[in-house]
Parts: sequence; structure tokens; C-alpha cells
Amino acid sequence: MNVRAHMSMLFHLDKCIGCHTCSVACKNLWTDRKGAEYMWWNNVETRPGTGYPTRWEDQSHYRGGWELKGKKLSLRLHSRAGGLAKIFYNPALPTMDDYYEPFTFRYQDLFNAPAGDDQPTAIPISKVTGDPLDVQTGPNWDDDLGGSGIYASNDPNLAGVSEEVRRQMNELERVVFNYLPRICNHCLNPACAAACPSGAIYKRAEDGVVLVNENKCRAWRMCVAACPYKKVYYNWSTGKSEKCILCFPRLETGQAPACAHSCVGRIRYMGVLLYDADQIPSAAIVPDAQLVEAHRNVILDPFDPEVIAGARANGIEDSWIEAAQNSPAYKFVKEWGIALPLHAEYRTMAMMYYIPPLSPVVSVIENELFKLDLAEERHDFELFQRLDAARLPVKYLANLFSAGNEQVIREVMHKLLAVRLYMRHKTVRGAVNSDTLGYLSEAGLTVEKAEAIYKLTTLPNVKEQFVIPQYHRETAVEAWKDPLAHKGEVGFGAIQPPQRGE
Amino acid sequence: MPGRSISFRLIEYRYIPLLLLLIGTALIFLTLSTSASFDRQTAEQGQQIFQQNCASCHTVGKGKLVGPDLQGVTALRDRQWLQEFILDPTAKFDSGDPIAMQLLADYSNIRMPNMGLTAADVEAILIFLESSSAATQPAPTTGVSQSTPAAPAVVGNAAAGQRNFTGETSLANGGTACIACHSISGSGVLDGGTLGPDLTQVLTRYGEPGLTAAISTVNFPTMIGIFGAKPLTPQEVSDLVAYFTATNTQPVSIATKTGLYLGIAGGLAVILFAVLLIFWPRQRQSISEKLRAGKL
Repeated sequence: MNVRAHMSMLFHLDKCIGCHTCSVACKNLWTDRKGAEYMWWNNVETRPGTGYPTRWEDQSHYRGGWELKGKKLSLRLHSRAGGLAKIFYNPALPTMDDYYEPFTFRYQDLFNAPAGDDQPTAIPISKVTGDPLDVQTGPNWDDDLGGSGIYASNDPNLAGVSEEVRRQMNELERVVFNYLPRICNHCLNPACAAACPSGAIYKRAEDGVVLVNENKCRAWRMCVAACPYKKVYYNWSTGKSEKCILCFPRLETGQAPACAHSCVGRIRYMGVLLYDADQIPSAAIVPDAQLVEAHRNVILDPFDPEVIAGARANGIEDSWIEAAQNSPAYKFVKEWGIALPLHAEYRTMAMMYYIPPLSPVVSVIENELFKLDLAEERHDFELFQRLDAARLPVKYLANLFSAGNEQVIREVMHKLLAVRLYMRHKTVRGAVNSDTLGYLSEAGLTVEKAEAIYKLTTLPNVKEQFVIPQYHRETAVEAWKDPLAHKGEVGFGAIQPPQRGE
Repeated sequence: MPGRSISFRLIEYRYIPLLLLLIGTALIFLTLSTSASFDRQTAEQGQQIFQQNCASCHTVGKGKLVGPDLQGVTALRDRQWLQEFILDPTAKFDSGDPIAMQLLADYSNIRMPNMGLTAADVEAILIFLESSSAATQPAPTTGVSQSTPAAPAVVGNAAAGQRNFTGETSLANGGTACIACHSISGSGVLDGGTLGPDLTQVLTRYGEPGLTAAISTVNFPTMIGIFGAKPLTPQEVSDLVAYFTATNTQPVSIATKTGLYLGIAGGLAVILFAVLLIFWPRQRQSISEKLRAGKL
């Protein structure tokens, strides 16, 4: 057993209202620079939709992630020899049009326009060329199902959803969407790091943050193509690749990442997960249907004495083990089993987790009136039995979160619904009957677990939401410098900006 | 530690005035010696300059080579004209000066190159020419002299000369093969280089003594840099002259060669564009464009 620690973020999608505050916080903090205009280290997509960059999940086009060939994983992008042959020409890169051409508006037009009968308008101009631009797309062009005929209906996750259901999803009375906030997944088996010819990408030992060493980056851009989530970006100004750094300077000073901290709906949780690095190779090569289970098995129980001993042997501080025991990520992912990684079939073993969203029941029209497609009484109980009546097809959620395995999604939905039923009966109807408890046990939960899920979902305080241990930077600093001298000198000296070719 | 590095730098600073003093003194000495040399223009100096720069094409009293015998030239021409001509012959030829035009007509249309001499050098040469003309009788200004200054005692071999020209045998002193810059019709790929003039009928233009003298000393401004320290051996000179004699009857090829170059370059360009045309439609269209065009 090779125990290591990982800082993981968890997204409770039922709570996301799609306000994009996280994206703006991240933009202002990290990508408000020349060459980074088009980058959104954090973005929020409307689902169903094509996302950013357009249709990033279409790996037959973008060739990201890993492919299982027999018993071996290989990059979908290229083989070793193929990578060398195509090193100067990488055809799988997204174009600027796939992201969007960054634009602003010429506000001076509002002041300089000659007097006339009409209000002057500020015309859009490209942030790249400065020329007037006919804006064709943006990082969130299909927000709230805008242009759904083109975008939502071309969502790659609708594969396997029947034509009938797809048609229904376009009808006004059955329409449904949810939001999907995305950052770098800081994978256990990162394809970007594997594809980098310069060896510039690495995974930090202390918390698993995947970083680009800009001193080593030589702009081959293989990482951009190889990342299946398209979360490595190329800065055309500095000639270096950049990506989400999980706000590690904030983490090291005990603060949650800017996106999580600014989240209005408080959908994000941060916590430590202990995992077994020795199990990664075997967990990444199981058949698609078993991927989620294998992924969960890699995450270790921080209360297990054997795990604690292994963690100490690997130099993990006790404060980190304690943080892992209190970690909301551990509770949601492992203890309660209701959080799933995004697109496990990419086999990068993403370490950011999502709690899938519930959705309303499909409605039907009877006598020109909308009516839920359920019997008159006991609506909620019926939905528990008939998950297929939910507006978001189970198959669709399975394509997003469980590599197509619907059973995994059904288990998670049952747990979420059981907690909801239990709390509704307890607080609204005033009594918990044996039916309610029956559904709880059918979903594999106890009353205590349901209460705990309810509490952490709706009423966590900031210390419960973000369990960030002491980073003890001084022990890392000791490797090259006296920690006390470092503390006194930090912030002084010259910052060396990244330079093309260096 | 910082204290030590500062004292090091102080020591270094102390040497700077000394260094400046040395440089200043050296500069003054250099200037004085240069200006002094202006006063010591002698015939010996002029002779030395003449041997270095002029002797490959001119003689004093030994007959005509590539250019005229300069015996008594100071009496024949106006001194100011001579000064201007030696200093910048190109300007004289270009301005259509009647004497220069006559010279061109008399000497197979070969222009004297600019030798890059200073006014002081020219003055020294003129003093040397005046003194040597006074010492000997004027020689006839026309007619090829029988005696050549660097007449090789060896017999030339045209085949060996061709090998030297094409670089098949490298030159003994390490000079660059002629074909790098010059062409002769029928030699090598595309007849040779185009930086220097075509040498197919060079014998007619220079005459054998002139040609021998010219390749022995290679006193052309472009060639002196390459061959100044790596002169040709007498054997090589006579081999090359023999080769030039053998090729003298061939027609000059420069006109057909330009056409050949253009043809090959044009052909390659057409092939390149044809290949590009085949691959052009396979250029990747962005998935976003395809989506909007309904082509997905």
C-alpha cells in the first residue's frame, strides 16, 4: 500500500444556479492577462449542451484521454512513435473558433457617435486583432439552452438515449437542463502529463495538484490535445501552457480556492482524500462498467489503522490524516457513495467529484392542462420507483458520470431521493412512517446517514465545507533553504515572467 | 561573505584609470605614427604598393598584359586625371570620359576594378611611376611584349586544369575551387556558379600573358580575400591556363543557363502548388463551424 493525500473538490450539482460567479472570480484572479483572454480555467456549462470548447467530449475529434488496448492503456492522441512523427504538427488541437475569439466592445463609440435619431451602440471588437467582429460563439454561448436546436441536441452525452426521449427533451413542457461547473480534474493518471514531450507537467506530491512547469514548457501543446477535459490552455503571448492550479497559493494559506470561496450556492466542498497509488494502474484498466467501483476502491478509509500507519510511513502529517477523516469529499464519495467523477471512461481517474442533479418528473398534457406523468397520490414515492420518469434520462447522467453504467446512477439517485423523502416527511408532513424508512434502507442508508447527508448538503458551515489542513510549507522549504530566512525574505526579489523559448 | 565581494570590486575599480591611461597613450602613439607616414612618401613605398595591387595587370617598361604598360604614363597623361582614375576607375568609365572609353576599346572591353587605394597610396604610386619612367626609356605603348613577368616554367595540362576548376582535385594551398563562383560551358552541373563572370572565352579577353598574371596574383577585390593567403601554385596556374585555352572556342553559355534556372525553379513551384492543392480540402474545419453549418 502506497498511501498518498489529495486535495479534492466536490460539486453538488443540485445546488448550482448557473450564476458564473466562480468563472468570474477565477478570471479576475488568474486569467486576466495578455494571451489568456480566451481561457476559462473554471467554466460553467449548461447541460444538455456542447460546452467549452465546443463539443469537448467528442474524443473522436479531439483525441483526449486514454484508450484501453487489451490490457494496456495508451494515449488516444498518439503512440510514442506517432507523437514523434507529428511533433511539429498536432492536428487534434482545438482552434480559436472552437473556444471562441475573445471580444470586448468599443465603448468609445457611445461617446463619439454623431448626433442622430438612433441610440449609438458599442460594436464588438476582437481582443486578438482589435478589428470589428461578427461574434459567432462564446465560452457560454448555449447558456440556459440558448440555440438548443444546434447545441443541446448535439451533446455527445445523448448517445444511447432513445430518439423518442431526445425528441421529448425538445418539447417545452418536458424541457430540462442543469449546470455543470468544470475545473481541471487534477487526475491521478493525467493524460496531459503523459503526453508532454518536455516533461513539464507534474503532479505535486503533497496534495496532488497537477502543475505546468513554465520553465520547462516548450510549447509543443501535446497537453492541450491530450487532456480529455480540454483544461490545459496555450498562452499565445508567453508561448507556454497554463492550467487551473487549484489556487494552491490560497490552499497553502488555509483558504479555499477562489471559485469555491466565491460560490453563491455553496455547491463546492474541499477536502483531503487518501488514496493508494499502487492500485492506480490496475484500477485504470478495468472494463467501462466497473470503472467507478474501481475508482472508489483506490480511495482509502482514513479511519483504518493500517491506512493511517501507511500514511505516516509516507510522511503524511497527522493533521492531514485528521483532515481526511473530517473531509466532506471522503464522506460524499466513499462513505455515502453519492459523488462520482466526471467521465470515468477517459481513464485519467479524475479527482474532482460531482453529485448528479435530480430533475422534475416528466409532465403530460391532459385536457389542455399540464399534469405530472404519475398517479394522483404518492407522487414522490412513485418517482423513487420510476426513475425513468425523471426529465433527465438516466442514460444521459450515466454517460456523464459513470462511463455509461446506469446502475451506478440509479443507486446514487435512490440515495438522494430517499434523503429527500425522509426529510420531507419529517419536516413537512410531520411524521416518518415505515414506508419512508423502507425507502431509506432500500437505498442503503440509515436514519443517521440520511441526517448527516442532509446536514452537510444544506447546512454546512465554512469549516465543514472546506476542510483544509496545514500545508507546513516550512518542511518543504527546508529542502533548499532555512525556513526562518525564507519566511523573512518571501516576496522580495524579482519575479521572472515566462518567456517564449526559455 | 558580502564584505569580501565588495572589496574585490574596489580592487577592480582601481585598475580602471590605469587602463584608460594605457589606452590613451596607445591612441596618441598610433595617430602620430600614422600622420608621420604621410610625410615619408617615397618611391620605394610606391613600388611596394604597385607590386601588391597593380603588377598582375600592368608592367613598367615590360610590355602590355591585361592593361597597358605604364612606362612614361605620367608624361603621357595629365597628373590629376591619373589620380582620379587610379582612385576610382569605375567613376571614370561610367562618366564616359573620352580617354577611358579609348582604353576600353583598346583593351578588349575589360574595365579596371576599383582597387580600394587611398589618396596617399595613389600619390606614392605616381611618384614611383615618375621615378621609374625617368630612369628608363619609354617603351612602345601598343603590342604584346614577348617577356611575361611570371612566365611559368611548367607545361600546362588542360585535363588537370579542368579537375582543378571543378574542384575534383583540390587546390594545393587550400583555395576554393573556381566553379564555386565561375562558370565554363560544359563543366559541372549547370556549368558552375554565377557570382563571378563566365570564364568560357576569358583567354580572348585577357590574352595568355595577362591571364597568367591575373590568376597568379588574383588581384581582384573579391578574390583577394579568398586567395590572398592561399595562392595557386605555378603548376596549377599553367594547368588552368591550358584549360581556359582549350575551352576558348566554346560558345558562352550564360544566356541558355538563365533560362534553365528559371525553368527548373518554375517547375518545382508548379509541383509544390499541385501537391498543396491535393491536400488543401483536407484542412481541418473547426467543430464549432461545422456545428453552426449543420454539417455535424
